[in-house]
Amino acid sequence: MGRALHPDWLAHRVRQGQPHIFSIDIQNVQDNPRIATCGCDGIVRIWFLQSLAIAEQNGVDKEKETGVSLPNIEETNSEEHPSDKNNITSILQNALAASLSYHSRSVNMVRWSPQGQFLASAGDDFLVFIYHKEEGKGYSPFGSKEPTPLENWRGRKLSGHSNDVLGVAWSPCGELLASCSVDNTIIVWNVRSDTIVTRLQGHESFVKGLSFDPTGRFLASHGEDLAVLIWKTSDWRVEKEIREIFKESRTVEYQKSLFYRLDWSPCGRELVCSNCLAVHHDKRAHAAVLFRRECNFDKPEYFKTSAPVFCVRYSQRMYKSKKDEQVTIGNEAYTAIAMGTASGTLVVWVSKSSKALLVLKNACEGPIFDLGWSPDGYSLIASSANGPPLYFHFAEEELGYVLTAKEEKEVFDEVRSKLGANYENVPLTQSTVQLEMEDLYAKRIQEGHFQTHQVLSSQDHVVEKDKMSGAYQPSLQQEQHEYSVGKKRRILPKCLSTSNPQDNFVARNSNVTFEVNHHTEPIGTNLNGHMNDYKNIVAVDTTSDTHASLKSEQFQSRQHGNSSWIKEQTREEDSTTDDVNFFVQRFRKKLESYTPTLAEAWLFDSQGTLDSHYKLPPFPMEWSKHRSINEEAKISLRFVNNDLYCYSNDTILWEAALGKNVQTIALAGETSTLYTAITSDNVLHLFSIYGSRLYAPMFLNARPHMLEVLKGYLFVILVNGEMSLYRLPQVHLVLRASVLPILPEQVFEKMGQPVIYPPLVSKQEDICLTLYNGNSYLFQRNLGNWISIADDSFIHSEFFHINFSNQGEYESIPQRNILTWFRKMVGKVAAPKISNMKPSKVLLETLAHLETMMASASILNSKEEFRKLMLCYIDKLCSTQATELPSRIEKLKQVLDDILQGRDGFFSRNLDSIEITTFMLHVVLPIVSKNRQLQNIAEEYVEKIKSM
Amino acid sequence: MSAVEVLQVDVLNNPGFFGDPFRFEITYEVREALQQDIEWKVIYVGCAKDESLDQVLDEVLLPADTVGRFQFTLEVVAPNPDKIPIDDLLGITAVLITCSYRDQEFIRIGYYLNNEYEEAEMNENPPSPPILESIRRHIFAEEPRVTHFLHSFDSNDSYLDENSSHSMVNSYSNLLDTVEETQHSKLKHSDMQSSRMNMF
Repeated sequence: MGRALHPDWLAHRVRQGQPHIFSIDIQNVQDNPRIATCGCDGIVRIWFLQSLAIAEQNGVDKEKETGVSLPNIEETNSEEHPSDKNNITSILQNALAASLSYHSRSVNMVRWSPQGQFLASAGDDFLVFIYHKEEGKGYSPFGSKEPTPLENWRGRKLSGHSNDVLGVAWSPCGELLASCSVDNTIIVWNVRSDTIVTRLQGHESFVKGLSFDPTGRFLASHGEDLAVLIWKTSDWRVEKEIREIFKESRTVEYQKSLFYRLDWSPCGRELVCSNCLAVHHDKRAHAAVLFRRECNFDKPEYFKTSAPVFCVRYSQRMYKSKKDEQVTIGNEAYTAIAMGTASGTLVVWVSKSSKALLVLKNACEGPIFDLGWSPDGYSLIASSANGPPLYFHFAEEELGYVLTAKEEKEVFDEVRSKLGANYENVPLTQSTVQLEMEDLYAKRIQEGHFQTHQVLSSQDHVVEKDKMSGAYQPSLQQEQHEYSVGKKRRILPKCLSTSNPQDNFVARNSNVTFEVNHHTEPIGTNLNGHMNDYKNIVAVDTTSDTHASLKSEQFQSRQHGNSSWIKEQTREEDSTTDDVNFFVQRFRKKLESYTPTLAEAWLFDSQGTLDSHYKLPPFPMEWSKHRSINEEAKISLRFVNNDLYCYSNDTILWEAALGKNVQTIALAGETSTLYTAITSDNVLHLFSIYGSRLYAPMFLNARPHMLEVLKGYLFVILVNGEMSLYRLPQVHLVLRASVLPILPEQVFEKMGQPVIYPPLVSKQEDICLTLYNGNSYLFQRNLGNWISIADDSFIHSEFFHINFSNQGEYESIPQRNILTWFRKMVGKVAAPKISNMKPSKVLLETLAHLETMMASASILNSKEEFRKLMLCYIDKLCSTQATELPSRIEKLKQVLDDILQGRDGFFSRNLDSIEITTFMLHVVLPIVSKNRQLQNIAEEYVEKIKSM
Repeated sequence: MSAVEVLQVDVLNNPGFFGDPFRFEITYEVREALQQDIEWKVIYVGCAKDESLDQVLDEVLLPADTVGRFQFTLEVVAPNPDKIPIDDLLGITAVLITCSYRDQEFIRIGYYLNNEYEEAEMNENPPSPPILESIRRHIFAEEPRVTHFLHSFDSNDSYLDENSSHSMVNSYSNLLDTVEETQHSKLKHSDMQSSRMNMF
C-alpha cells in the first residue's frame, strides 16, 4: 500500500493569491537527501527529505492510505485538517536546510547536480544561480520571521540571458549546465569557470523545457514554437527536430502552460515530452509522448491522459519484478515514469506494463508543475500551483525491486553501449595502462606536484594557508574598525567569512589544497636560501628573479656534477612544488626590495597643458619641483630660487646651480648612485650624491614622461615615446627604443593615472614594462622588439592566481588584481578602486597566452620556468572540455612528439638534462591520462616509449 | 540580485532611555563586490505626519569590495529632542535603517518604537517641559519591516530597465500585516493611520 502525504508546512509564501511551487527536486545522494523547492516568492528553499518521515510520525500530516494495485483509484483529499501551529514551527525548525533569497523575481526551476553537491535555479530576473553548501550559520531572509535554517548555502550568479529563464538542466558529468529562456535561446555554461560554452539558437519562440541525455550525448529542448530539438553535445548542432507531432498542440491551453518539462529515461534510451495533443483516428487526446533513440526519435508512442501533461519525470533507478532473480541483461529491468497533469492528476507508468500503475486524481489541488523522485527510487514528490506538494511513497512490491548498483551498471552499460554512447562523457578504460597513469596522476596531485587549476585558482587556498601558518593577518578585519572620511564615519566591519562562491566550485578536494599549502612554506624558504647566494640579483626585480632562479639552477647542477635522474627529479619536484608560489614569490620579493621612491605613482596634473601630438603625458607636475628620494633618510630634491637643493631632514646637504632662467621639470635620484634633474630646456643634469656635477649635461629630444634612477640604472621615457636605459655610474647607453608600439590606443583617456609603471631591469639588462591595463612587455634586444609576457588574462589566469595580503592597511585589495596591488605599494596615493567584477570577455587562460609565456621563457633561457609552463600547457590541452578537443589533439601530439624525439624542438631543447622517457612516463603522460577521451594517445605514447 | 543582503540586525541596549544611543549590530553579506562604499543611514521619525521632522542620526560608509559576510555595530546618538514636537515626543514612532549605494537606496529596515515614562501617572499627565531622563524607549526589535528596492549596483542587469515600474520587491511586510495588526492594535489611536507609517 502506497502512502501519500501532503506536508503543508513545506510551502512558499503566497504571492498574487497563489502559493505556486514552480519546481521541486530531490538531491541525488543516498545519505539524508534534501529537497529543493522554488516558487513565485523568489526564494529557493532546501528541506530535509527525512523530516517528511518525522512529520508523519508526529501526526501533523494526515496519512493517506491508498491501494495502488489497481489503477484508476480515485483519491480525494481536499478536506482541511486542523494543524497545530506550534507543531508546524517545530517541524520547520528541523526541516528547513536553507532559505535562499538570491533571485529578485519568481524562480522557475531548481535542479540538483547529478552528484548532488550543487543546486541550480533559474528565475524571472534573467539570472541563473548555482548554490553550494558552506560551513557556518545559515540565515533566513531578514524580516521574514522564518526559523533559522540549519545549513549555510551560498549562491553565485550566472548572467547571460536577456529575458526570464524558465529551466535548467545539468549534464550527467556535472560540468555543464544548460538554461533555457524566454529570449528563445539556450545557454550552456561551464560551471567550473562560469563561462558560456555556447548559446544555442534554434527555437523560434520561448524555450520552456530542456533535459540532458544521461549518456551525455544529447540535450533535448522543447519550445513554444512546438518543436522539440535534440542537440548534439559534441558540436552543438541539431541532431533531430521534432515538429510534426506537436503541431496539434497549438491551442491556448498549451500556450498558457508555463513549462514543457521533458525527461530522458535513466539508461538514455527514451525521451518523453510533455504537452502533446495526440490525434489518433480523428480523436484528440492529451498525452505525453515517448520517442525511442533506437528508432531515431521517429515513432512516437503516447501516454494518454484526461488533461494536458505539464511535466514528466523518470525515476533514476531501474526495477525488476522479482527480488531474488538475477536480471538478465536488459530485458527484465524496467523503468518508471511519473506524469503530472493540469488537473492535478498524478500518473505513474512502468515500462513493463501497458497500463498505468497508478492514477491519482486530485493528487494536488492545482496543476502539477514539477516532479521529483528520491534517489532510492521509491518516493515521488509533486509540486503544484495550489496547496502543499504531494509526497508519495511506494512499497517495494508495488513498484518493483530496485536493481543493485552492480546490476544497474550492467544494464546501463549494455544499453548505452548499444546506443553507442560515450558513457557520461567519460569513456571506459581500455587498458590497465590508463588506470596506472590515472593513479600516478592522482598521487602527484595529492603530493601537490602538478599545476592544476583545482589546486591553484581558489582564493580560499590562500586564506586557508594563512590561517594555518598563523602569521598572516588577513586584509579583512577580525574586529570592527572606524575612522572618518570627511564628515562621515567609515566603518570597517568585522569579517565573518570571505569565501568567494565562485572559487568554491573548484575547491572540491580540500585535502589537496592542504597538501599544497603545506608544501609552500618550506619551498619558499628554500628558494630564499638559494637567493642568499645571489643577494644582488634578488635585489633587482621580477625579471631578474627569473634569472636568479635560473642561475641557482645552474649553480646546483654544477655542484651536482653529472646530474643523474634521481637528482634531477628531486630538483624537478622542488621546482614544481613552488609553482604555486612561483609568481607570488616573485612579486612579494619585488615588494620587499622596492624603495618608496621607485614606487611613487605617476600622478599627472590634469590641468596641465598637453601637446596633443605627443603620445604620452608629461612628467608629473607635483614632482617637478620637489621630490622625495628616500623616505627613511628623509632625503629630497627641491628646486627653490633657481637652485637645486638636496635636503636631508630639512638640512641642506648640497646645492647646485642649473643655469639661468631655467626651471626643473623632472627630478629623480637614488641615494646610493646619483641624482638627476631635467630642466625646462630639456637638458638632463646629473649630480653625484655629494652634489658635484657628473659628466656633461645631455640634451633630450622632447619633454620627459618618466625619469627614474633605479638599482644602478637611469631610465628615461620622453613624451614622444623614446625610452632610454643608461647603466650607472658610467652613464652608458644600454638600450634605446620606442614605447609607442606597446601603448594602447587611447592613453590620454587615462589622465591622472599611471600609464607605465616603474620599469624592471633584468640581469641581462632587458627591460620589462608593465602598463596600466595589466599588459606587460619585455624588450628583447636580440629581436629588437617587444615581447608580450603578460596580457590582461594574466591577472585572471587559472594557473597563476596571485593573492596578496595587505597588512593592516585600510584599503583592502580587490582580489586578483595586480594593478591595484601595484598602487598599494605606492603608499602615497590612495589606491583607486578597480572593479573586481567578472571581466566581460572570457579572460581565463588561453592556450595562446600560455604559448606566449612559454616563448618568453624560452627566449629568456629560463628552462625551469619553461618546464612549469609546459606542464600547464599540456594540462590545458588535455582539459576535459569536449567541444574544443579535436583541434587540440593535433597540438598535443605535436608537443608529445617533440618532447619524445626532438633534439632541437621548441619543447625538447628546454628539457636538455632531463631523461625524456622517465619524464614522459612519470610526469607528462599522467597529465594526459586525466582525460579519458585521450587514453588512446596516452597508450600510443607508452607503447612508443617501451619500444624505444 | 541584490549585491548586498542584510542577514541579521540585532537591536542592542533595548529597552533604554530616550537619551541613550541607538546600537544596532548588523550582519550583512556582500554577494557581488562593489566598486564604491555602501552607505548606512539611521533616520529617526520625529513626527509621523511631517517628513521634514525626520532626523538623520548618522550616515556611515562601509566597504563592500570583498565577497563575504561582515558584521558591525552601528552606534548612533539619540535624536535631538528639541527638534521633535512635544506632542510627538511620547508614544509610537519609528526608526529607520537604510542602506544605499551610489545614492540610491536598496534596503530599508524599519522598527516601531515606543517612548513612555516609567510611571503610568506621568504618561497620563505628561510633565511640561518633559523630563527626558525618565523617558524609556522601547524598540519593537522583533518586528522589523524590511523593504527591498531594486538596484542595479555595478552591473547592468537588463531586467531592471525594462520593468522600472516594479520599484519594490520582496517586501515581507505583507506576511506580517496580520501579526502587526494584532500586536499594535493598542497603538492605533496614535498616528498609525498616517500613510507614512505604512511605507515600510
